[in-house]
Amino acid sequence: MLSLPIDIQPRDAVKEIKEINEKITKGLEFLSKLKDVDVDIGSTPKETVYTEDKLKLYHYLPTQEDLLETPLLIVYALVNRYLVADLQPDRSMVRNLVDEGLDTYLIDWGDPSPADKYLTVDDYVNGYLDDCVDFLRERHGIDKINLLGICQGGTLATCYSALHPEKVANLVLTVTPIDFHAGKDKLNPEIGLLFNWGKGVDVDLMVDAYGNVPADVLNFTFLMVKPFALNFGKYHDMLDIMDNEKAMMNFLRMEKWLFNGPDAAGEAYREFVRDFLRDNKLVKNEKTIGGKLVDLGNLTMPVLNCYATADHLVPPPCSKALAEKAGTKDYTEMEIPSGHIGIYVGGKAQKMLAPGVAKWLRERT
Amino acid sequence: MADWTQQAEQMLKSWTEAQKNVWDSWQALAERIGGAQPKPQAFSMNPMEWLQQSMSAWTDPTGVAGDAGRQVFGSQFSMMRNLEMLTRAWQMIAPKLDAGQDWRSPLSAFTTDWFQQLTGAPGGLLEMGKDSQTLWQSYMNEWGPLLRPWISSAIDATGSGHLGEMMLGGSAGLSRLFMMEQDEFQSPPFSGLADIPSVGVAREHQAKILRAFDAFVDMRNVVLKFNKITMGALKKAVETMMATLVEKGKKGEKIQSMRDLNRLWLDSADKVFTEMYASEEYLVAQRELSSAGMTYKIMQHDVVEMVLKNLNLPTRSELDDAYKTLYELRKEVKALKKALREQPKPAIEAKAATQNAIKQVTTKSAARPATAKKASPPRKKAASRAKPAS
Repeated sequence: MLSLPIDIQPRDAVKEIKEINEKITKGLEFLSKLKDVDVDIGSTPKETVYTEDKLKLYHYLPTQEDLLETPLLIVYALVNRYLVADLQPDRSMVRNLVDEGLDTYLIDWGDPSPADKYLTVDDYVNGYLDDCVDFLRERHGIDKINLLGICQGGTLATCYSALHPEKVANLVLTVTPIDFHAGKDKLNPEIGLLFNWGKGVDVDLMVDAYGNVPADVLNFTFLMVKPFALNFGKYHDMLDIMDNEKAMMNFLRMEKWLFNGPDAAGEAYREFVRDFLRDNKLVKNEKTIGGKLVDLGNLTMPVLNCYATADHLVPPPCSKALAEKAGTKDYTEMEIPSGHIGIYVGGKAQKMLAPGVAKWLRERT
Repeated sequence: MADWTQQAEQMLKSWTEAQKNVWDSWQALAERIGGAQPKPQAFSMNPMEWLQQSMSAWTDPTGVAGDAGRQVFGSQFSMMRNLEMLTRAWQMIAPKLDAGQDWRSPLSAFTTDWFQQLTGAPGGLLEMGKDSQTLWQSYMNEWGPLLRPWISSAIDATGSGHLGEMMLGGSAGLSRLFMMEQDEFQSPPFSGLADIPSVGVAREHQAKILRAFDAFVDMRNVVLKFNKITMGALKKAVETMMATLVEKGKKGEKIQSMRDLNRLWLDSADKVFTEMYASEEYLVAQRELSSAGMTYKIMQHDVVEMVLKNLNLPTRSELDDAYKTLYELRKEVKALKKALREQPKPAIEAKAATQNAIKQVTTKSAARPATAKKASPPRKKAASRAKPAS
């Protein structure tokens, strides 16, 4: 016989509400005492060694004596902030790399203002990135450095390495899109959804209307991939940790990172969406930057390509497409069992990503 | 079977009791956390809004803690609403299920009503864009007094309901407004009138305002289409959830906690929405919505530029020109600096350097016996100099 599957007794409901409210009370007491500065992210000790316009090049202070001679330069994406790579001491790819004895540098692109709306991909790759690489080559008195790209920053690092192979010793990519049209899965429509949306948007109109594309617009798009889980479910689940200060701090750090991104420089955004997302020119070897073809065959240096198995933003096939295209004979893939962000902040990834990268680099030095 | 209805009524009773409990405990919570007596009237009128506003006072107003706190209250509030909706939906379909009748059609009507109530505007979500006067008033509300010098006559005209008077200012776009919701076989009564041009300086100004209005109308129409698709997904989500509950009922499975029920709803809704997102229909609607929104924004810029120009203030176009010049100059300076660093030293400098070297050799050879100068090891190829950290 059919029966009502909802069997929430009044007494149980009241009890549940009471428990929820006790947690909320405790959580709010904690939140009310908290200052924004207490929610510290990006805390690995560092110094600024080079600046250009709004860009800052950070050098993370080494913690090991046995430093790898070739410095590692981390290239972050132009959307969101690099801080996800250094969210908190026990969840930090950057800190782990430093502790593995890698002399680590990172580019903070800064926040584009309206005056930066005309910056192009060429300015980022052949301008800022090249200047940082040159600075490090001179600082260390070497010809080549190691590059590590994060997501879209990996795409930029790939372009740079293909354009300037003589300056890159080893290329490490993490959750990096190369083939923007790969990885669609009819059974899992959320996979690759962002790229699918991006292709459809009239990006010319968008940049004409906004100038720089606001961070809120970009964020909204990320949240809409799973509107119920990300807008309600997440905070609904937050109840479970509201009486746990450590877990709350972890949650708040992630929130701070998520909702504190920079705007995206208009022209670069237009070019990226049009040429990479929509026309998929990179994997077709058709993309030109600064008048030069970005030929993936020029990637003759060793390449380590790290992807996340449960990445719905950059599905693994989007990254793995590089295997077929790169000109190198030394190509390695590293599979991390996590999602797109989990590769940097997930518990398992902490023990896999940085140690794996360090080992791979040391084997090639 | 009457059991279904009784059970559902019992559920609703539980829900009402629980909700009352929530408000009572939140009021106590507000007093405890805030350290001050909440304003009873504001709280009783809209506890959710009051609590969310109060978060700024209870937490660091610039910080992430306040936002998170607001979201927690918001998610609990939405959980309560979801539970009520699901229980009422179940109450509605239970007798149909029991009698073996179609329960999906009445559920669809119920869901439409529910979400329209939720948005607070029965016509707002699905029917906006039909009433031209409402549209015009809504458009004017967005601009406030900013455009009064140019459109006071239009405001008066719409205020008195004389749209024709406004039309005589001339706008092809207005024809589009009057064409709305009419098929090509109908003869739009006013479309010709809207093409009558007016003259003078005012015409250009009015044209900008009316073009923005056209874009506003287009955007509202696209929003309407988009909302219909979203509403369709919401209906499907509720239907899927009910189907899941029916299945659970058949298997004798029970959901015994409000949070489990809410979680089931959120998962179920996300699945339906994700399927919708991948559909061609949605992609087209999303593209149209985005384009219409951006087009309206661009038209807004034109109007704002007009106002700024009239006030002799710099416009965005002028700033963009300056930004572009700045960008190009900055790029040029960087390129020049780079070229300077990379180019071989000029002949005159090289000559001076050679002379210095000769002098050094001369001095050294005068002091000690001449030996060949040991060449220093070639420095690894150094990069061009970049600007040091400031």
